[in-house]
Amino acid sequence: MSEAGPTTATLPPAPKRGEPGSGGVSGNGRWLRLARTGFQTRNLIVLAVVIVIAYLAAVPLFYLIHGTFVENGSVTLDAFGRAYSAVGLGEMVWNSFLFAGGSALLAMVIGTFLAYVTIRTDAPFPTLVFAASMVPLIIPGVLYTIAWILLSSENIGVLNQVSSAILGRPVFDAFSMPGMIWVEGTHNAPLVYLFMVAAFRSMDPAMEESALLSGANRLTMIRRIALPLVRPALAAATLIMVVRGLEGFEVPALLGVPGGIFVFTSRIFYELQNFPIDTAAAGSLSLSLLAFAAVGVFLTNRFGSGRDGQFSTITGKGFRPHPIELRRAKPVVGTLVLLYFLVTAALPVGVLLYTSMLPFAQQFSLDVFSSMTFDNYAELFDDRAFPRATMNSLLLGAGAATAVVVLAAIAAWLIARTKVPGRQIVDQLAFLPLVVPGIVLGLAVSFVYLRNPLPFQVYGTMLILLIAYVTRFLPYGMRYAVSAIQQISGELEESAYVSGASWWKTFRRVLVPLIVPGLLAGWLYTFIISVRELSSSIVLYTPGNEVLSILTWNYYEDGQLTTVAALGVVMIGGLTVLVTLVYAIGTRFGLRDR
Amino acid sequence: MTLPLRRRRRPRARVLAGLVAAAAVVGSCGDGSGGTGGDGGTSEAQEQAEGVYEEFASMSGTEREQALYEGALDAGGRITVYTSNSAIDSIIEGFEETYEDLEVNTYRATPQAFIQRFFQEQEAGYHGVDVVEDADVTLVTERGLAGEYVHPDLTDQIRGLDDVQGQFIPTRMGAFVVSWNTDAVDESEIPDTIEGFTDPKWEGRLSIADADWPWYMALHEQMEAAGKSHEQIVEIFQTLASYSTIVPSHTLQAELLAAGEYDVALTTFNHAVNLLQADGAAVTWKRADGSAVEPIVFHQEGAVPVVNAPNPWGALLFIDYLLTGGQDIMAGLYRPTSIPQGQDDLFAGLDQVFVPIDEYFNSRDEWEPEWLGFLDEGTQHQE
Repeated sequence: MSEAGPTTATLPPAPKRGEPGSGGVSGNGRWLRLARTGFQTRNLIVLAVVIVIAYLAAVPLFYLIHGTFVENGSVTLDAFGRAYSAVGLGEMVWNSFLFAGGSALLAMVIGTFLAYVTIRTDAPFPTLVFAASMVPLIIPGVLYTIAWILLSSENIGVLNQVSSAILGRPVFDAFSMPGMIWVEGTHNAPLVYLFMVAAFRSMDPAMEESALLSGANRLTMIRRIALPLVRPALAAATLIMVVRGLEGFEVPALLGVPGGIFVFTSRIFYELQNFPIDTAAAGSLSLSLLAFAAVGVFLTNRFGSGRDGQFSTITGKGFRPHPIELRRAKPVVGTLVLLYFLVTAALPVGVLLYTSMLPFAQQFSLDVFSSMTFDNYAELFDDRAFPRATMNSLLLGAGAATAVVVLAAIAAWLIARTKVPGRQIVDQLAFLPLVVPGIVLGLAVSFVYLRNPLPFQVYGTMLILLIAYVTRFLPYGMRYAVSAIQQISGELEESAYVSGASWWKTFRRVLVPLIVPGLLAGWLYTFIISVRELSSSIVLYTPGNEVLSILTWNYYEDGQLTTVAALGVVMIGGLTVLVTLVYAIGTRFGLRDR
Repeated sequence: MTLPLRRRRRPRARVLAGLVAAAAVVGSCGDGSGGTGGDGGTSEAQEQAEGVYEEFASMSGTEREQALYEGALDAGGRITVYTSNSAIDSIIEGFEETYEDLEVNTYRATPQAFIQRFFQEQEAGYHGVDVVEDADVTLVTERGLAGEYVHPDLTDQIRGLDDVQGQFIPTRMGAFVVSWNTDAVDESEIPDTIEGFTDPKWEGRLSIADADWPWYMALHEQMEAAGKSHEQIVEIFQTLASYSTIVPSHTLQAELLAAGEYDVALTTFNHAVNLLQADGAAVTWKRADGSAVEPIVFHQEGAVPVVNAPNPWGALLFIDYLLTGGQDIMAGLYRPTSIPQGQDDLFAGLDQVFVPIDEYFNSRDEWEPEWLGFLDEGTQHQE
């Protein structure tokens, strides 16, 4: 991400005093002149951005490390001793990896299969697969998990009522390791799908066709040709899924804990809920998880996609993929695609809609339909926390997205357009939060602002959530901004400089308009993931600063199953509108289709 | 009872001070809770709060109410309450209707969660909480973080004030009742006492909530008084736990009972069941003849003003309201109240025992682990 390509290695000339582009300063004061030069403006802005990024990324980790290792003024490993001597620690570590590995495997199998059949074959219902691929954006993890509880709770889960009617016993159990893997895996599968779609799209089909012409059957061709060709993408996606599994909070907390299955994230959360509190022990668990996540991300970079283009199969040769005919397998594949849509989209949304109209949670029966009501929606809209949380979520989403995009655009310029020594450090700092699980970041940020280093209040305000969101989602903004800048040739900016424009003017009038589609996509994506954020918010929110994900969590914890379902339906409706807008605006501004 | 109040015109200097304070809050991103951070604010906040608590300890009637209201407004108009009370939203609605321009923000969570967060904030020097409300506020008092609350008009009316030994002001009671899903169980099957559920036919059909060690403690005392040995009692509860689904909260426990996840909930609060019943759910804790599984176990819960509350006037006014208008609201929600209201008829004629408060204060470290041990010994954990 940090490597500048041949066209991006040019350092834009800082206009010299008196030259065109210097702002035409003709005053006598030396400092005034200096302050007005584009050179100073550029440096000051870039320096400010670098300081902000360094502060956001490094300070929470410093506090976390300090809070974990320093007790009563001396350095100690006691916190690790306390955390690691807890009963069931080995089991927790095993559970963490089993959950992360299992959910990654499931997501990989489903996502890769769907990507392959929709891109390389004439499989039916590609639109349904695309619609389902939007599910992780539209259904937040906490709602998806709750939907699966409503579907597969032992006695009242709709699926278990069906299985009990047919087999005489409940078959599904959400509160188990397989249940956890299923929910996390199916929720993440669309991300793998999107990842693999790109890989399969850029793969020249001539190789597969050659294999088929040479007598290989389809399965052999897929096994020996197609999959090895996308191996780098597979490796990268697998590791990302494993890291996501390690970081996942909603599924372990809602499904694992009631079943007595703890993983790192849920143990950290409940460590923070226990009395007497041991924040240092929670910190030591957090650092362990951070280390595992960092190793995962390191492996991703080492063996995965690595540098842009390293494993690219796009060549100068044009090709037009010819879909492989599935023939007799078509109905089977079509059924699987339908099943996938049903499982990841229709069932979870359907059960939330159904539950939202019940007077109270109850077993499925035909009588239920006569007692259906909109009271839960009325109750939701009557709850004064709902409009407040909605407003907070929207404000925080917009604030975080704007801050992320501004920081990322300037930092990306520094990385992609200059040869300033140490610019990679900025890139790495901006990337660092990606390896920090949300709950760990929340804990670290609370460590910082409970002992506030800033001259104004942060803890107890929405600012603390904003800081957490900007830190957490900066890596995503960077990805959008860097790739957007790298697509624009530096010659255009050079032309502006030559014509006398200052750096700031060039940045504002030339570069920004050119990278608007990328920045807009980054803004909207950051906005959406901010609105759904739970794992940092749950550690950091204070009364009056609740966001929608916290409201969802609180309703559920409070047993208000029908109200949480109504909130879920409203949120999914709202996010659907937002995602549709993203798509529409993105297309209008030139974002690539799908 | 409390009267609806209207805001008095305030001196200009205070309005200006308010504007400056508002600007400072906006400068810190708008939604501050009014808390103070750092050691510098500690003694000042505490001195102010303690002064207010002392000043109002001898004041009563409308003079007290009006002065507290004015003081709460001048302190920013925002009151922050940490609580586990599921009726808090209704109470706040009543409070804010009564006291125009005051706003109450709550952090509502399980007792462990909010007490822990409260201590974490206090240790870091962040003082943003005015009132803490739950049975576990005894922990707050033990750490010297509870301010003094005296209301000359109300103190004598509070049921069980002496029992809690000044640890908190009792504002409500939780009544543990055994409830059942009437679609799943015929009332004739329901035994008269809790011991009846040790019959193997109840295996897998019961539910208890995970934090119910006070319930166990109260019943242990009652059974011991009836002549049972400790070993016999432990065996009873081990059996009950092994037959039960464990749930994390009482509200959820009642909801899942209504939904049919299990047949009987051993430790529901009566108000959760009564509310569901009023909505038409097939649940009850009383047979048609008014009898129930006995005894009913009552647990006193209450509130304290925080010793360094940023709005100590608001803290006192809110607790005053909990003991006046709030009692009416809780009674309307089928909750046993600290100042007796009409809803106590719900328990007329039924055996009642109280969680022994002195044991609750002093022997938690013995009872809680024993209870958790029962739960860990092979129960089905469920949501």
